[in-house]
Amino acid sequence: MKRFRNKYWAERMTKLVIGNILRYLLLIGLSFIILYPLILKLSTSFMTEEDLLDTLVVYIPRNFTLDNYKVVAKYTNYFTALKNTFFISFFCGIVQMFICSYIGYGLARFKFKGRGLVTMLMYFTILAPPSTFQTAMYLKFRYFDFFGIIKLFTGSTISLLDTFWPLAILSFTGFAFKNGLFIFMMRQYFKNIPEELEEAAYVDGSGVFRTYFKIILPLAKSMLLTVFLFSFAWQWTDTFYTRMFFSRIKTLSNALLKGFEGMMVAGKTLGLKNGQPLTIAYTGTMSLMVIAPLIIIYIFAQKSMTEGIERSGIVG
Amino acid sequence: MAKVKKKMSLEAKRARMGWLFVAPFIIGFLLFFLGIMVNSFKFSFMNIKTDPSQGIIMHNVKFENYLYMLTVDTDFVNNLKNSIINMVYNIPITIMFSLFIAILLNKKMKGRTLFRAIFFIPVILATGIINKADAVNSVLNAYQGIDVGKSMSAASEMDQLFNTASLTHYFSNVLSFSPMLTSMTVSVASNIYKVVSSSGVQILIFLAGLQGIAPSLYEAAQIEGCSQWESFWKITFPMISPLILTNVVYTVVDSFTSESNVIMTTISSFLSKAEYGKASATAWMYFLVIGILMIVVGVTVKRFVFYQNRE
Repeated sequence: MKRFRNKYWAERMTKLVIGNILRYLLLIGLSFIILYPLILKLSTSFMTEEDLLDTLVVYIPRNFTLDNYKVVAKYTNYFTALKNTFFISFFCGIVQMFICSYIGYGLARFKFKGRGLVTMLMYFTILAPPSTFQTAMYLKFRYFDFFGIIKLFTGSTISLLDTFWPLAILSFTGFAFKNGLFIFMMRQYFKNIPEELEEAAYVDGSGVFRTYFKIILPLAKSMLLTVFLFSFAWQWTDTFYTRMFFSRIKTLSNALLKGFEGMMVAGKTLGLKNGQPLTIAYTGTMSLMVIAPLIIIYIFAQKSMTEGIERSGIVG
Repeated sequence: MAKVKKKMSLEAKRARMGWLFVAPFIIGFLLFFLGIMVNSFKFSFMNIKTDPSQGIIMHNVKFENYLYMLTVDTDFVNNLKNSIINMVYNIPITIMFSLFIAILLNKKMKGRTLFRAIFFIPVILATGIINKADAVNSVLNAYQGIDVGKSMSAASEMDQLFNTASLTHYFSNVLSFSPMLTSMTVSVASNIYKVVSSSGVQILIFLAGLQGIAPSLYEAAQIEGCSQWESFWKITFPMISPLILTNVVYTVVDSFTSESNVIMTTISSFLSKAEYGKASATAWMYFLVIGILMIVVGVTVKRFVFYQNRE
């Protein structure tokens, strides 16, 4: 690298270095705050019971063991649950990503009568927390009837619990967890795209849908990815919907709580009691086993988030 | 006389296409939300009792539930006021903080991916399966009183990063800070975790928005001799201002509906006592207040939002 010999060079370099140092300091400091509980969990997850009770052992286990992981995996059907949760979260993530941007685009671009009303409804959806309509939603899916059509055909309502349908229907209509927020996000983003792009496409004879899929959507890649990550992560760690809809299929969040109870019950033999250090170690291990795959997936997804996607198409 | 059918203009036709885009949402709304909203509204005017032989009995008590919450229940109005005041503090801090972090995370530097992953963690922990598991343990720990230093701290010190007492001691005695400075620093230190963990979502949203800003804008500005500070205010800030609105809305909603909010616990306690009428009335009043707040805040922020359009 050619050093630009200039009387301002030293000044600029020092500014740069100090800036970098400060930046790293801040980031590392904050990261520590975020990571501290996890680090604790990580270190206790590798400890045996003696280490947990030994007050001299703080962070580094003297007897490194993978036993905690093995016990947890056995009592919670970890790999089945992992597989299930992965598919569910992935499917929901993709569907929600597409549907929410689809709806958001409609709200952003088209001045149809009633647009204000629908926007208000969207705000309502963001506002109301899921817990307020918990019972109603459960009942809706227990005695499911699509506007009376199903009753016409089969004579009674069907129960959609323990199938994949409730989540699928919720995702496809944009009513899954926090979807109102996603719709809002995409709407804001689409509003920011200059209209000239679409006008140019329309002038060239492209229809509305084609413009949407071929031109607008690729521009929103980073936003789409963010929506996908959110819905994937929240679906992965969700207890609300999974507890309501899936009682027999094993999912990770179900498995965590159920497995824990299972260990409590079956663990009269394991000698587990609440509050004991081993229990805490198990809980910590379970938490880690739930979060870890998610973080790995996130890191992979991050690689495709690049800086500053050049906005093509507008010249001059 | 024959009526001449007026042909719809192209613009009107295109505007109607909007319905096609919004259709899934409408279907979902009619299926799920509408019925629930109407029911909940009805409930708020009723007193619900469950009778083992007859199921649910509803007595219409008109506004009694509302009046109860406003006059008889001592805490509701106070809690409302406190929540609003808290929100006024929290929103600017959270938004500025998350914007700052997002900008930091956007620059190319070593370990950028790692830092981004780390800041994603609060988002994951936002819906608390992990929190629940921890909470179960920490409450039980308190009762067991077993002194297991490190493993206990994993569970119960999520909220307290430092032992406030020893920190205070350190600041005032060892470093001889004045009492006021001590209390300020300690409160900052113990609030950091709260701020960091509640801005996870905002950071990600801002990050995504920042990545949509074309770098050519910055290059052009740099050629013209713009300093970093100026290019932030003239380029970055306007370009992500729509997302500032998004984040403001989200922060308002989040601070009011997170489960640690007092009023939400009031509502859930009503629900667990099967007093659906009171729960609904509280919820509706609460959401009305939040809604008004959202409108006020939204309109204020909208004036500063710059869309790249003539709209």
